[in-house]
Amino acid sequence: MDIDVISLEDNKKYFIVDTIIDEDNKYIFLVDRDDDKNITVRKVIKKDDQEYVVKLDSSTEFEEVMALFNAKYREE
Amino acid sequence: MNEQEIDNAINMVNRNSIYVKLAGFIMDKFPLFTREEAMKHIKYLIEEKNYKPKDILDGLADTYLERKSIMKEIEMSCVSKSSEDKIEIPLKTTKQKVGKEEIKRLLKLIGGLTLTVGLLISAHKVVRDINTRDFNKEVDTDIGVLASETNSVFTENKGNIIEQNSFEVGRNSLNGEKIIAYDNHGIANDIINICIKDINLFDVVMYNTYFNMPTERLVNFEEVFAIVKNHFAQDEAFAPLNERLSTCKNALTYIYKFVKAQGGYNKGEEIYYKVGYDIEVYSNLSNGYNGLTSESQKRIDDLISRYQKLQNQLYRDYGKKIEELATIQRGANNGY
Repeated sequence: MDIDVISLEDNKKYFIVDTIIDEDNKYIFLVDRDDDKNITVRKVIKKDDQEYVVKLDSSTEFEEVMALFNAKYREE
Repeated sequence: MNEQEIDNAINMVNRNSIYVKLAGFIMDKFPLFTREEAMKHIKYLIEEKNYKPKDILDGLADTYLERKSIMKEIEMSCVSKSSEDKIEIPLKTTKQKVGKEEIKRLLKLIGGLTLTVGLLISAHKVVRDINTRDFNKEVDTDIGVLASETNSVFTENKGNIIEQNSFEVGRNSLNGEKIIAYDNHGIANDIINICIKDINLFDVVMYNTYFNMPTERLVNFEEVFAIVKNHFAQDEAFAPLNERLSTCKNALTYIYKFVKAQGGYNKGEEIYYKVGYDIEVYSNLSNGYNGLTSESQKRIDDLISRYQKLQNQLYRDYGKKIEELATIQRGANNGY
């Protein structure tokens, strides 16, 4: 299978393991390609038809994104 | 049935209740455990390794806090600390071939993270989701607060923990002596949060909270009552509860009056007070005895049976003193 890989601000390459869209927000769940203990989440925003990856706004948003992922796979 | 047997019977009921609560704690903190496995684990630790419930809770709490610390680090990498930190990186990707099993493994890694974070935030979500969550479908008469010596744990019917609070060291309100660590405010907050969602759960949660407390923590319970009552007194929506709080408070005051009058109490009397008060609380349930499940009715019947046997024994043991106690109790009951 093909998996998307993206470089972040730390110049490390991350696998985009999953994408979740919640209302107007789109989140990507990332695992460091070379260190699977390094897990992170980013938000995808759109500006002038171009998508950008940014950090989350707050701890609350982080918690909510975690809950979204958990809810998506809870039944599996 | 002698006093020791009654003591053992009551301890057994309390112990089973604690097993269930501890198992719920394990399942919530370590989601890979099934209920059966968690119960087996708890029984093994307590019955074969002679761990006390408090030791288990402390151990689990330590592990929990350790995880929380790791989660905080991950959160720091995900959340922008300032506007300068909000760098916009164009979403440009390349492709790499990865096996299906490897992708599953990576998903599980994230799953483990989200589960732990989910547990940490669940307490807050309960409050946040108050308008969208159908709380009544999630709770039943098992809802309550498990009060260990170091924290309080608010449970749902499935044994899932919603909130855990830190502890404070209190003082015995009767003699001012320092007593075991506990968290009256945490317990009271748990109770208040339950009642905010469903006012009708008040009696049940108060009873279960009381039932989960060791006898020597009656003093704590009285103080929890005082905190809850103070909170409800400030909100008209809880006016119906104030009346019932008053009743429970009266019952406790009554109990303490006699504990104090006797200048101390032995184990037999402790049980007497505990079981007697259990009945008082149950008698105040909003739907009454007939509104309870058959299991709860059986529990009450059992309590009453033991109470009566114990009372008979106490009559023999304490003679006139207990006769006076019962006389005044009848008078007090008529006043409720």
